[in-house]
Amino acid sequence: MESAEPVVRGRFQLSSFRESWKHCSQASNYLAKLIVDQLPDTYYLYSAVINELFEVIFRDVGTDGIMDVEVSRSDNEILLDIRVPDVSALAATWQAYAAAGSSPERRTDSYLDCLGSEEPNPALGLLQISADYDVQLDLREDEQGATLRATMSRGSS
Amino acid sequence: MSDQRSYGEFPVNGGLHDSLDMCWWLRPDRLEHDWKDVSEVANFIADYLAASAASTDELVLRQLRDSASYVVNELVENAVKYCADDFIQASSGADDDHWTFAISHGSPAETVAGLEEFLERLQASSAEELMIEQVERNFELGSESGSGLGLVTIIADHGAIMAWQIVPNGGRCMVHTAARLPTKPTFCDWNGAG
Repeated sequence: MESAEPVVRGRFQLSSFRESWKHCSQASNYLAKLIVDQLPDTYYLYSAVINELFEVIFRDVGTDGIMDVEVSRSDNEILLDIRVPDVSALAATWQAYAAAGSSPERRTDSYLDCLGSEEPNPALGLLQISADYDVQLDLREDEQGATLRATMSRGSS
Repeated sequence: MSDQRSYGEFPVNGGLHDSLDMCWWLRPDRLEHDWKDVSEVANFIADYLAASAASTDELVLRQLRDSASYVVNELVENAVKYCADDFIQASSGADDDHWTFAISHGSPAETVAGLEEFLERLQASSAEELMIEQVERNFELGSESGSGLGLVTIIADHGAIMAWQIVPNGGRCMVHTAARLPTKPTFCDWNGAG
């Protein structure tokens, strides 16, 4: 496994983060600008992916505690870790995402099914970035909370 | 036992970064490589605070947001110039009366000595007096770098309330700089009546 170089770390009080929906796009745009090198297309890719993840956090996680964000990159990948204190807050969304299956093809099928369904699916955003941008998502839990990791290819769009 | 020195009234004793709404660990090598990244973080922090600001006066909020961006940009630029660590800590927070920014970084002791000399002069005179003095001095010396003009400007032109804590540790020091911007305009008449 290649080593990843840290780009930036941030910490948000969830109480203030959830004061405005705009915070999701502001934070994702800022992080995307830090990540990109020169290719303008990838800025929109990264920004869209990160924004979707922040919006899931905004919707699912409460106002107590802090959210830690870390971005790192290797030659081939961008890693985004978002750590929140409340594991249970993400459970429903993650279960719906995991139920779509582990292969990219099945997740894409699930995403398309969601689009054609009137039944709301909390994982729609996660399935979308997985299908449209080939983002790999993982959720790790420990005693202190949960870390949502997005792995994105560098330079693809 | 520490011979920590303070200049101005630091807004919170200890744990300042933790008490604020948002904190970033920035890499000075990246910022130095591309100064655009400094303005990016400054604009982001200012926009973030503005997004949840209580003010309903759009003109006041826009001016406050622009001042915040200017102040953070200046403080982070200074931190990049004088940082001796592999990270700079930048925090921001807001309450009804102030937007607060805190920047921390390590510096060599000799660099900090120059900063403290400037801070002594700042305490002994007003920012306006010091600004004129520095402009004249820079004109004579033909240099602006390290003059402190940027700090004086954010006090005199943006109404920032500044404070510093210097914490020595061996041959280097941690420099904590805090700036508070009043959320209600006090340094000029926003309606153009004076």
